[in-house]
Amino acid sequence: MLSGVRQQMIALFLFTVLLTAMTGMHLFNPFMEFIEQTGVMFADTLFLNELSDNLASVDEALREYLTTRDSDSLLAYYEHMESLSGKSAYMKESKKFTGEQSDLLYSSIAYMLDTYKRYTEIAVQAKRGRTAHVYIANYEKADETANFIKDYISRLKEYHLNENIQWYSALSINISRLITSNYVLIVTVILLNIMIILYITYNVTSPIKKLSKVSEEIAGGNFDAEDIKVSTEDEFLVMANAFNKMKKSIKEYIEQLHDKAETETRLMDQKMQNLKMKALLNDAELKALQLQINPHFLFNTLNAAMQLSIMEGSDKTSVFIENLARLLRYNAGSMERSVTLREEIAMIVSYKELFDVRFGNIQKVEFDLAPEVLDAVIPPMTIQPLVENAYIHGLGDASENGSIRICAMAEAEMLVISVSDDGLGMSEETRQQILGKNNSNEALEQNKWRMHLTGIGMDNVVNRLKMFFGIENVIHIESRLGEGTTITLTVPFLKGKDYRPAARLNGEGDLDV
Amino acid sequence: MGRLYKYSIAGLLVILIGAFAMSIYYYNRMAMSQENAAYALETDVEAFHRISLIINNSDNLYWQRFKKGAMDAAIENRVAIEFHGINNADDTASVVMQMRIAVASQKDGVIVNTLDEISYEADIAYLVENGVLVMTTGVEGGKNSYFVGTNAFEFGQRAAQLVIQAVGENARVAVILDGTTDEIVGFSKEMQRYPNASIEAIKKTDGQLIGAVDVIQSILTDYPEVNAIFCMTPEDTLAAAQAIVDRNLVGDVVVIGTDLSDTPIVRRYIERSIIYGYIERNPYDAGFKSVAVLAGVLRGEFNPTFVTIDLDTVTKWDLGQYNR
Repeated sequence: MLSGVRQQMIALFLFTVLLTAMTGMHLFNPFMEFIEQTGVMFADTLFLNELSDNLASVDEALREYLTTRDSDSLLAYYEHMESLSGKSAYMKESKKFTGEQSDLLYSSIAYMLDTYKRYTEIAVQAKRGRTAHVYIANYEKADETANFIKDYISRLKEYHLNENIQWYSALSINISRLITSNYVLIVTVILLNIMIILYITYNVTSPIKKLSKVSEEIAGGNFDAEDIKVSTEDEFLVMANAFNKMKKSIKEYIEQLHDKAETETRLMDQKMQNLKMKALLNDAELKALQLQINPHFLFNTLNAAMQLSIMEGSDKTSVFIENLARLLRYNAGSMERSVTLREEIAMIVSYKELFDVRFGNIQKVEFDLAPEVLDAVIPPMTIQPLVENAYIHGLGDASENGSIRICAMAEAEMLVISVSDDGLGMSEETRQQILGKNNSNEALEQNKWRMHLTGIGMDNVVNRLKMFFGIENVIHIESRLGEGTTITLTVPFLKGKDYRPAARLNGEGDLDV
Repeated sequence: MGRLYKYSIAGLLVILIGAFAMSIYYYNRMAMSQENAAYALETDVEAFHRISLIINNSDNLYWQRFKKGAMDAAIENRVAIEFHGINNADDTASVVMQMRIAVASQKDGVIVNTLDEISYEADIAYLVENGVLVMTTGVEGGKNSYFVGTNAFEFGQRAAQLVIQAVGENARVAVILDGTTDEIVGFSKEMQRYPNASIEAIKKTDGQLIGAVDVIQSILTDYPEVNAIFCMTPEDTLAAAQAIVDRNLVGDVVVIGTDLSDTPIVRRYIERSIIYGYIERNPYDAGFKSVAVLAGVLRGEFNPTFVTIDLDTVTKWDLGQYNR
């Protein structure tokens, strides 16, 4: 089995060449035979004509000599007779005398020439010896033999003619069919050669075309291009297999690079988030610290004031001061820590009582808290800024009978905290600003305006929640002008007081995996 | 490469092989027909000896079979035979000319059909003088010549016996001659043994079927008493049988023939007793032996100068035996 491309091509080309050569030789053969047969026919006829002429010349010279006894005639006789003898010898040498009719006639002519020569020689000798009856008798015999020879030459020519006619008729009967077969043969050989050339060309170019097509796709970045399939078992198969392996290797290598780059990007993003969170915490702490002007002095002072009020019998004042101290202590704690919802609510209660003393109990605060969520962990100062906003902006201009409702519940492993007021409500523009979807200067100014007691704005709360829980959508605001506002915070429901987002960070802000 | 392509290749290969086969077939047929035309009765083996065969024309069934035998013997003995058909058995001039040609062309031997001993005596002597062996068939050629053939007298006798066997001693016979006289001598001699039998007519035909029918029709018209016809050639025998059928004389006249081949039509004639029987002179054997004996002599072997070919008599009974 020829497996190599080169061997296959050589074999197929040799096949086509041999096929064409064989066909050519096959077609050539009858025509060669025809030419040969025609040549033999003409050569035989020519020879027999020369023989007849030669015989006539001898006869003429002999007759002239016998009648005139002229020496020139005798010389002519000898000359022509020599030629005739040569022909007779040639005829005996050149032919094998078989039972074939033409051979028999041919041999008879050759032997009759000998007989003729013998009679003529006797006649010439007799003429020289002047024995008339002898030369006349032998001349007559020679003449009779010459006639026989002429008759045989004529019969041989006729035989040859008949033979050639038979040959030609046999040829003509079959020649048209032979030509038709040969036409079919030629056309078939041409078609077969074309098919073989196409086969060779297709076999050689097809894998190269496939290779080139897939190469182009790979060059365009498509490593998912189909594998090259080659059905033959030759060098093209080896080449295709190697190419397919190479494509697969490159694809795997690029995927590895891609994964690495993705991991690095993710790490960078994480790092950036951590840095941002740290910045926010720092900012919140800074704001809180600004309020802690000598907190020990302030707490001691507030304690002294509380004791003074107790001693003076001013219970309300002492409660007021106690609430204030509690509020300040809560605010003075680290912003990185986590608190329970219970602690945040307690701080809000203190805050509310301060407000009641300050503005009178004109606004009502209601709590609707599911008991199971009270131990949920949240960042400190998460709900307080919302309540403060409700007091100041939601109910600020509604002098009395306003109410604030604080709800907390668990929903599908999420903690949902909502702060609602039935105050003035806010415009859509304001709502968008709070959600961070409007960053105009005016919006930023409003945000600043919204910082009150703690100095912590809504954006700070939202950003801290995002970073604390690692999720994006934490806030939802529903508000209608004149009807009120509900701000809902939705965060993962986490339990455990020790949970602190700051614990996820090391000193340099890298991710501690 | 699709399936269509493979089928196309396979189809083309089949056509190619077919075209090649057809081309070779027609080419061979061409060559064979040429060869058949040229060598039908010849051999291309180189001959040791060259002889002339001077016999009656090849249309005659007897001489056709004779020639076939001679040609077969020629191949077997590596003898080249130059055939000269003489159209008319009486054409002695043509026979003589062929004899002289045999001398001029230095033939080793001559086989010649002679009708009588006298006509060719000098010519046979001339051949012998010039070193040409002479084999005669028909009648003996005389001194220094060889003979292969049937005994003409015996042939005539056997035919007469067959006539008596067929129609009884009151035979009224018409004889169609083949040219020689010895046969009729033997026939007459035998007939004379039966006083009530007689030869009513002796005629000759041209040896062709149509001509023979005319002659026989005239015999049947002119000689209504004839109840048997003796023919000396197969052509005349068949013509006589056809004439009897044509004239509705089946059962009234019977034919005694010569040298018939065992063909369906001959069998039919014999089975219906139109031809009572025939004398078989075995021409193939005669032809074969004439060449074989001559070739043996040329090789220097001893051979008898007189070789007779057996005569066979074939009747309906013989055919019946053969069929069994």
